[in-house]
Amino acid sequence: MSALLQYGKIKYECSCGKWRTLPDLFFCRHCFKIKCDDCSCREIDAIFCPRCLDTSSPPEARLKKHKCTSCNDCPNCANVLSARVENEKYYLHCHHCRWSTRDAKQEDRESNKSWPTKENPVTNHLNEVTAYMKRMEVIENAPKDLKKGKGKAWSAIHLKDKFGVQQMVEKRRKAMVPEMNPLKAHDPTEAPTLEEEIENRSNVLRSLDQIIMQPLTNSNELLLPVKVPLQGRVMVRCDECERTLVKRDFGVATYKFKISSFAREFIPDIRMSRPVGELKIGETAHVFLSVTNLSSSPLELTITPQSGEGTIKCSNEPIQLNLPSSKSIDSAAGGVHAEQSDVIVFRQHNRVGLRLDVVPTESDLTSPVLDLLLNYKQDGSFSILAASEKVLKPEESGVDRILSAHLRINLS
Amino acid sequence: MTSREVRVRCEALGPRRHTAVFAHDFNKFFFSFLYSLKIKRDKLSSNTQAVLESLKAARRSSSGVSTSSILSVSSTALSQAISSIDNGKSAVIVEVGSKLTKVGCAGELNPRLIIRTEYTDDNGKLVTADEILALNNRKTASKSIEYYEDLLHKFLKMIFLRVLAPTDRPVIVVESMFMSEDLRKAMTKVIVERIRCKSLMFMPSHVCATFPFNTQNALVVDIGYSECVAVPIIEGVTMLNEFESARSICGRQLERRVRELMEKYGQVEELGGERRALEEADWEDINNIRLIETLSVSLICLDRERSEKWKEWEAAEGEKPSIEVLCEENLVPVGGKSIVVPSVVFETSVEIFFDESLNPDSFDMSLPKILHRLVSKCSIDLRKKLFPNVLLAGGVSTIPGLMKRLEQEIQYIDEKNETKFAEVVKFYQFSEIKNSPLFVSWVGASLLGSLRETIERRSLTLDEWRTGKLAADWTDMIVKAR
Repeated sequence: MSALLQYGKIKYECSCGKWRTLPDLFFCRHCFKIKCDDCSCREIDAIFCPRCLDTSSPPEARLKKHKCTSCNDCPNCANVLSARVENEKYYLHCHHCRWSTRDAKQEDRESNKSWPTKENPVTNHLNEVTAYMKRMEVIENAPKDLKKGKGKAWSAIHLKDKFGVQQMVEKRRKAMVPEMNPLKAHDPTEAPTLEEEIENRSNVLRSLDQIIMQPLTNSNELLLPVKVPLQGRVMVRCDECERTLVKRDFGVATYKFKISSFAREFIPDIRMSRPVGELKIGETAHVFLSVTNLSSSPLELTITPQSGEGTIKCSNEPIQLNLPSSKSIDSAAGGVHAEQSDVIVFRQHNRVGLRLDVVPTESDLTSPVLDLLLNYKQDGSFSILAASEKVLKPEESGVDRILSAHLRINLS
Repeated sequence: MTSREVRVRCEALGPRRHTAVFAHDFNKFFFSFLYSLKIKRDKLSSNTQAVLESLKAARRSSSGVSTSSILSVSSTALSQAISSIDNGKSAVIVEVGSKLTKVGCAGELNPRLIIRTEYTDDNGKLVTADEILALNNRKTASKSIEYYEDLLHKFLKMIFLRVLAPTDRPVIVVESMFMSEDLRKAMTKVIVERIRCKSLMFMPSHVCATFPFNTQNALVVDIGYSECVAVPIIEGVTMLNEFESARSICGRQLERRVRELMEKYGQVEELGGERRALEEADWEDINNIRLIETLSVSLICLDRERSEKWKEWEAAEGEKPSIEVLCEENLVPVGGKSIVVPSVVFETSVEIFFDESLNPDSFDMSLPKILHRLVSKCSIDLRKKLFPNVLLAGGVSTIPGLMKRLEQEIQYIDEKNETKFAEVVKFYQFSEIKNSPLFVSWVGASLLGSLRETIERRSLTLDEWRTGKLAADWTDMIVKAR
């Protein structure tokens, strides 16, 4: 699609200095800046299974270890496993490589959920080690807390032991001090012989992908269905003001947005309306562009061709345009009529066709780039300040703020 | 970083000896495996005097529990209980290897996801681990640091957002001991500043590898995809002066050797059953299904006697003598034909770890020689402790039979040199999980990650990063010493 619309050839400059296509960009209505992937923050707002689109809350996902309980992938080829019923019992089958749970010597099951997976066989040992490390931590941290509390007035009450406090403290101490119970190291053992290690090894080679999908399964064991890992749905925030740029509607299957602030709706969309002819040194070539206003505000627009190092020379003067908003496309467009202008090719609702003349030099031929600067004024609908903010800081309401966008068109 | 550079870097490691001496003093101290870290952290703030102070304080604390510390013990327990109510924010553990990346949450016993270190960018181009981690080697990193930072950013963002939501969680990155400073800084910047994780901590992978075994003494041998690093840990202290590394003992060289042997002995079986040598087009198929990689994870490592026989077999001109094989030849079907992988590929590829002459481009010694040299460099009282405590980590060391062969080779060298280090050779291993070396460092970091307060204290936050602080690193010691 992007090839058809030639989006890849036209890159806008993001506020962080990177060049991106317009659909890749966001616009922060608060900072009035263009934002891209790299200068925005991402956050997960929903966790879901990519197969069954079932959402889970974060604690739920944690319990499930970020794996879907009902969906399984093929351990052989990582395609979707589908359930089949035979004699009112389920088994799983891969349409791609014809692997099935019967190959894994799994009996058919009454329920299609929670197929077995290999559990970590050393869980107990590792839990013991964790508990031991936690005890160590408490003891290690104790002197640090002691240091903190040094400012307190020291009382001799426990020396006198008038009220039997000392005893209480002793008791408490015995109760509270975590027992050390030093845990013995896991004993190193003799190297197993080669014969032991390759006993019952299957003759079918296992690829790296198969191994890393279930690393706990040894080479002499059969592969089991792989539970599908859950995915996060992402929302986008501005990295400066931390306001939300894109947030999707409730529900994972929806394609609607609750908040969306894509750059297309705030920056004039410029595209090439016809392919550029062959460029020859010193000869004028025509570049046909269409400028579309997809925003909710009429725009007063100035397009200034930039000429500088590495860019092609454009002989046009700065072009002034009035573009109606995408809502009021029925009203007649103002400004110079297409017939009376050399530059304007057509006018059509909120879109204007332009013809720019470029004169390539020798250095341009390898990578001809046309550099344009857009300056435009909007009617204030871009800004989303709260009502109180508009009253308190009228200068920030952004009504008259001139926006600019810088773009480069690859003419080759 | 080339091994020579590393060596230069480590020659500056004079003060490390002292660390080892301290260790003997403090080996009674229970938490000494975290100690090497602690020293690092402290040296950040000031000079060696401060380090000494902190060591003294630590010793005092171990000597006995005074009355007021009882109360504080109880208060810690309480605060822990409170914080564990909201235990949703456990740390995220990431180990970015040169082939595989392991990701998961602290406290869990196996990584949630193991993926290849690569991603597809916006233009559909595959960005490989070599590019993502290019900053590790200045010589090959031809582009600007910002460029590589962007690659790292995209990769880490992808794995974080796909798997977990780390923005409000601490992150622990398991690093290789010799990760370059540029890469470290780039990672810190990306994780703390651009992805805005709560805090960041680096853990050296070889220290992590000892945690699951709860051991203080180990000879950690990490054989990864790009290099092999062996380093002894004694009483929880990394003996950096005695480390050894080799670039020729790694997964990449193994794949190269498999390819070499396939070129020599591999065949194609057509549908009719007739066999012919491999051609250009077949190699395309082989690369498409990543057969070389699959083969290199299906290898076995023979014992000494058998490998001698294979050497005779290879040396034989014309008629090959018959030989007993453990892995039959394997037919891999590809597009209407089968690639014949002969036994010699499965059984002799691993020989590059034991025979230097198979690595003509490198001056590295073989794996057993490296380990033997490492042990003989250690001080005399430690030598006998190391070979009974070998810990293999890294994906390549899962090859069946490697341990047995290593034992044989080491004992052979030991006898030849008339040293007595290797009378007993034993390995730390979870025999139930054959693939455990693949993620043992990750598991260690995960166990450590379940210690909330420790993590909090040792991590770097965004505010600290903005004031110019860097994540704690063992090389800080050397920098300070200069």
